[in-house]
Amino acid sequence: MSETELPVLSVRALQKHFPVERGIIRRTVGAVKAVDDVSFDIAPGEILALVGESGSGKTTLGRCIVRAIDPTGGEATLTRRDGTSVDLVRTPQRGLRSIRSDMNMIFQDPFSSLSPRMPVIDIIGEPLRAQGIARREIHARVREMAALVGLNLDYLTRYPNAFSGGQRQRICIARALITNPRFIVADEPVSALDVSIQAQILNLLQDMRERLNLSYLFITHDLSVVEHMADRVAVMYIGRIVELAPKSRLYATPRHPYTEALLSAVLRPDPEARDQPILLTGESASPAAPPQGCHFHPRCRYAQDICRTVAPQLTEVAPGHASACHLSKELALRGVGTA
Amino acid sequence: MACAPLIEVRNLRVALPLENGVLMATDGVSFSIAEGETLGLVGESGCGKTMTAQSIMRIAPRFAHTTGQILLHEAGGTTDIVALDPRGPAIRKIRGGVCAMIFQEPMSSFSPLHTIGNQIEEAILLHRTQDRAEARSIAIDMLGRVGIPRPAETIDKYPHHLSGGMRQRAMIAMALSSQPRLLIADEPTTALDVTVQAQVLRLMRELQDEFGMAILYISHDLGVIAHMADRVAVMYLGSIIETTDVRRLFSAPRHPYTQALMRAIPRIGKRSGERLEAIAGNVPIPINKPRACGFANRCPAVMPGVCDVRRPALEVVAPEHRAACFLYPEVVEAADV
Ligand SMILES: Nc1ncnc2c1ncn2[C@@H]1O[C@H](COP(=O)(O)OP(=O)(O)OP(=O)(O)O)[C@@H](O)[C@H]1O
Ligand SMILES: Nc1ncnc2c1ncn2[C@@H]1O[C@H](COP(=O)(O)OP(=O)(O)OP(=O)(O)O)[C@@H](O)[C@H]1O
Ligand code: SF4
Ligand SMILES: [Mg+2]
Ligand SMILES: [Mg+2]
Repeated sequence: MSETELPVLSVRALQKHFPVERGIIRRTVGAVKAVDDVSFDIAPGEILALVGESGSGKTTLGRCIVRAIDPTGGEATLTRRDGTSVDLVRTPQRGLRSIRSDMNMIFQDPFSSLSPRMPVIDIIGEPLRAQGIARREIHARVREMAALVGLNLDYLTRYPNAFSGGQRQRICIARALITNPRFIVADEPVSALDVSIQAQILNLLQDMRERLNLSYLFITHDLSVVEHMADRVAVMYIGRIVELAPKSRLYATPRHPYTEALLSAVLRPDPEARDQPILLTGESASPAAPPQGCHFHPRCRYAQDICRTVAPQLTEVAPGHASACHLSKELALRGVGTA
Repeated sequence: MACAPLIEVRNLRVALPLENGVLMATDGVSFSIAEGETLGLVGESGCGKTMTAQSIMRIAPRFAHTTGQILLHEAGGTTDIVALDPRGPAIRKIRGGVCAMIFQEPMSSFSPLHTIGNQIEEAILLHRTQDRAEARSIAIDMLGRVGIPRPAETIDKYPHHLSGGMRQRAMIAMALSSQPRLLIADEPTTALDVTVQAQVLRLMRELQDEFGMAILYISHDLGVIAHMADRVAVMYLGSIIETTDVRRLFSAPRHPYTQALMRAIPRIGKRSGERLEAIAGNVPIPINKPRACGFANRCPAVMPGVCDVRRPALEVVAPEHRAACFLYPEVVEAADV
């Protein structure tokens, strides 16, 4: 355990607005507020799951934090292994190189994120080479990491196309972990994989957390996977976090109507279950023209006048449990059973 | 089944001659689906699910060698799809009309050169009505029913204007707008979040109730299969290794692969944080397949000298329940005869 209780990552009012351009001269006519005023902390060794509607900004948020893209505003403070802190948003690209050893991202697609022309041993070692470490030492570290994620050491000189989907995802994970990071953004790390391989990868990610005291921002739309992996869960809807709570609280007693709808739509692998999904009527809004007031109000079955005009703030409704809904104190929302 | 089958697949084999040998993508698959029924097709990645679906539409790769029968029973008579010319007029009337398919990869079913509206209307004009205005209003209605925002505007957009999830929904709308008798849905909701998925699944069921549509539903999401399927066929390495009705499959799976699959899924309510039981090892590549049970190299119950020298046939091992595994005397008996 680290000697300090500081969060590994502290995100404050993070924003990413994409310009909307029109016409031949590409005049900027508006903004897609893909990430709009998002704040949260992640503790050492914690897994924070990020769920939400398709297009709500989950990937964009993850990419802003690892600075694959530049945020428009806000702060993201990373506490490094040596105890110092840096604001990732204000670090210039050149300064990021050394910080990359403390954080990394596992991308959604294990097929397109590996270079087909590089042997696997070089792919996994690439982040170390960027740090200028000697070749001999890199190879030793790659072999150690490959063994840790369960890759066969005899195959390391082969190219990615000789590996199955699950093995490729292990390669991605080995590459993300080789610099001994404190924090990983994992964007849908198992959704391209079939069930039996998915289980191998989820087990691996949990082992790594225990061995290395890693923290994850774990992005997925599979709520069964979330329940299996996460400590806390953040729910996004059109660029904002609308609910944030410890996992078992969120599942048993959701306090935001969108979370209730999401949970109700989970299909359990049980043909006897008579699931009654809450169908969201109305259009899913676009982040280029979000509705006034609460973004969710046109689809919310509890909406009242205030919801149409005033935007609710994310406020604490119980210890560690925050929701952005005007009615979250009054509503008794339906959760799903946790044993 | 009370209803007569709409489609009957008999001993379907799809062989792909490759440089390093013959790949048996589908190796003796048989099943049938009745009107109004949903058959779920599940199995490990690469086990031949998509190839089976493509064979019904006759869109398997050109170099594939297909044998067996795919019988389509209609009021006017029975057609063997395998015997049709894959580019002839008969299959073109079936494809997109009587049988429609929702593809795993939405980009592959839309041309980037035309608006989605044009493409959906074409399909409707080919199979349902001659009236352009009516075709357009059917298309708009369908787009709305799959949850596309502002369908009357979105219909004039090009595929690359839509997000992945919207494209997938547009394709579902296109497949459903011709009111097919058989809908083949190949991982239709993987890019969708659960609330949109719920909406799309409900629509498929509504249309099934309205028109008695039969559905072949391919997915690796066992939650969706439990919710949608009447019967389920489990495939492994090109063959169906277990098939029964959905309740029996989930409550008492017989084949060790199906049993392992059930243990590997995370479930809400199961003690979380517990390790999932992964299936060790990898699926072999089906080139020059040995005569053995395809699961033998990963099976916890493997019997050396039995499972690795003969191939188990799919036999009845319990009422309404077939499995291909030598743990069952019925299968051993069938192999000895
Ligand atoms: N480069 C870009 N330019 C303009 N808009 C963008 C860009 N990248 C993303 N967006 C928009 O930002 C919004 C958020 O997209 P993002 O990919 O973060 O969603 P997501 O929550 O990850 O969705 P999914 O679950 O489908 O992966 C979407 O409306 C998307 O269209
Ligand atoms: N064009 C092709 N050339 C060579 N092999 C092919 C081709 N198309 C499919 N295959 C092989 O045929 C087998 C069956 O593939 P198929 O696409 O039917 O699998 P699937 O069950 O749909 O898998 P998934 O769940 O990953 O979609 C696989 O081994 C695949 O690699
Ligand atoms: S604030 Fe109003 S509209 Fe928004 S979720 Fe709560 S009740 Fe629904
Ligand atoms: Mg995303
Ligand atoms: Mg497939």
